[in-house]
Amino acid sequence: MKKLFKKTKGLIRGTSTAVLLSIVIHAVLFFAAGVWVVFKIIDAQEAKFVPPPPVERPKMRLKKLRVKVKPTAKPRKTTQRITSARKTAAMPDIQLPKMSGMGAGLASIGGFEMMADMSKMTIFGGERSIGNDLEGTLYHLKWGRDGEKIDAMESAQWAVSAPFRDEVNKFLANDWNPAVFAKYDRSPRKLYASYFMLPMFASDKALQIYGMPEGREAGRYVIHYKGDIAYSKGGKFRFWATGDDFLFIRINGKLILDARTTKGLSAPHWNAQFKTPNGWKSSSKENMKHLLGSSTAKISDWFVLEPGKPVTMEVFIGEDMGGRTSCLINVQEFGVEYPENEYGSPILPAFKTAPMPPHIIDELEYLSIPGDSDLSGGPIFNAY
Amino acid sequence: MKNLIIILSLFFLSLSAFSEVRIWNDKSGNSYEAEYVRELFDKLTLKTTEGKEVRVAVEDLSEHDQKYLRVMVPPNLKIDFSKKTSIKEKPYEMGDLDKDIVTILSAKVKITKDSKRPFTSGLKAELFLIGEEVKETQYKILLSKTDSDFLLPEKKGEFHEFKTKPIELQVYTEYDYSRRGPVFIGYLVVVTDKQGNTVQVKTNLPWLEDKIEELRSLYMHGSASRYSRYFDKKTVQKLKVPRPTGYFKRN
Repeated sequence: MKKLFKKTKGLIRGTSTAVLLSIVIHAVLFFAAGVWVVFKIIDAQEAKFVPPPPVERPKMRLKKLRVKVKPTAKPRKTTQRITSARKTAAMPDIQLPKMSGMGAGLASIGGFEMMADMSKMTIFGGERSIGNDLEGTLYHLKWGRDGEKIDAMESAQWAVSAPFRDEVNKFLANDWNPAVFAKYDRSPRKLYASYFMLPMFASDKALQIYGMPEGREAGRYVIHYKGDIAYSKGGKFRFWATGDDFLFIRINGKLILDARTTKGLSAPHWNAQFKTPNGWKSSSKENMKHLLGSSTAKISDWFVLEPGKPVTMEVFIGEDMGGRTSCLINVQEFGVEYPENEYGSPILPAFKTAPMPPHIIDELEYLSIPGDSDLSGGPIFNAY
Repeated sequence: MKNLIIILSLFFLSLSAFSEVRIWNDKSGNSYEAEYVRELFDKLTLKTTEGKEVRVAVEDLSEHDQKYLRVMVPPNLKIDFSKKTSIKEKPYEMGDLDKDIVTILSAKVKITKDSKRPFTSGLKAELFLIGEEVKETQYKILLSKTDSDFLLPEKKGEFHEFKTKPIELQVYTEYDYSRRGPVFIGYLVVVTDKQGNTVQVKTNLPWLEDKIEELRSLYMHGSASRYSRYFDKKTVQKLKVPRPTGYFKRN
């Protein structure tokens, strides 16, 4: 220890002058550099910015594409059989909103409209949204999300499934939360419906059209639709609808219609065991008095739409056992008188959020009973 | 035999599209101011402006006239139509009164070059499949239209072939026990050149032979759906679709 101390001391003493000189030189250089940097930076910051002269940019004159269309289009008159066509002054001459081609209600970008290919629309709706529509998702409760078949949902042919009903009831009781169906197989594609006009069809068609794997047995499926609706003029409305096996409608989260089937083999079990949330019942005396599709028309509560103000509409339909099924929604406006069909029922306009493409009208006329619905007339509930 | 007459008459009628009066020259230095009438066994029949018919072998024509034939006058074609149908099993659905009959229909057209003469311009074939309502037969239906653009092969006897996509025709029983749905009844094949002139027509439905434009228009306006292509037999104009009588008795 002593030896080390002595060595160190000797080293310091021998180099002290050079080190000191080096430190002094470095200190002077450091100081000079610091002063230069500081002054340079301050100089640079203090330099005034002179904006360059503005560059002249000639404006491109874009010509908007103009398509000649009639500013208004009156709905077609019904040609269905009417025994007493009463049309009074109280019935407004409903006119479709101004539109260009079939892209009504779509966002306009720089004079061009985002046109959906309406020719690809089916009676179930389209694969692409046209803006004004309700988005539908199908859940097949016979199959799990993991691709495994769920045995509990099986039952003898044409027999009801208690587990299916339980799940439907759970959905209805839980604020229509789709999470209830999270464990079940969900359709790979969504469909966008701007109308609900499905006259009697084989229920496996729904699975096909929603892109479910081929060869699946129909039945035990539900479809949940949700979207915004509005009416430019506002008004008071209610739905006349029928759904086989069931159809429910909510407006802004409030149940306004339970339109389960009341005819056919499946009806008794639905009526006996199905739980309508909050014990909802139609207040209309006309409820279930008029034939519609394969059953009778169930009539919803009235609901009021402020002019142009959107509300959220949800439609929930489902099929338990399979076989033929149907789903029809017509709309009635308060204070309006409608022509009657040969059975004395009003020919109400089909509910729609966009005008129906002509090929859809042709197909629906082929499939639906004359006098059940007015396919081309009535208000358009487009929210956009 | 009747069909053969129809086809032949249509063929000769169709050739009128190429019948323009022009100067034809042969290699021997002869000239004819004449129009093309027909080609048979590699010889052309020309009709002079004086009304006289002249037969000239294709190989004897001048180079210029042979080129004209190669580009402007399609050779004889033989058109063969065939179809394939199968019945798709459709299980009984609850609510059905009877089993649905679902027929899957597909068709094939074979266009054979029936001449040694080369033809280098493109051609277009259109195949119209026609159906009718199984019960209300006054409702005819344009089931589908399939187009095929093609070049003729070089050699005589070689062919161009094209197929339709399969079509599903479903017939079901209504609640009044009537049957509804489309059934296949026939076809019409039209071959046209690049100028749109009809080269040849073949059909098993004689009443359609002069309604090609009407069929095209019907398809153009109703391309999105078969339900938009119901038509009247006489006029081949669109008809409103037949309506169902009811899902069940409503009285």
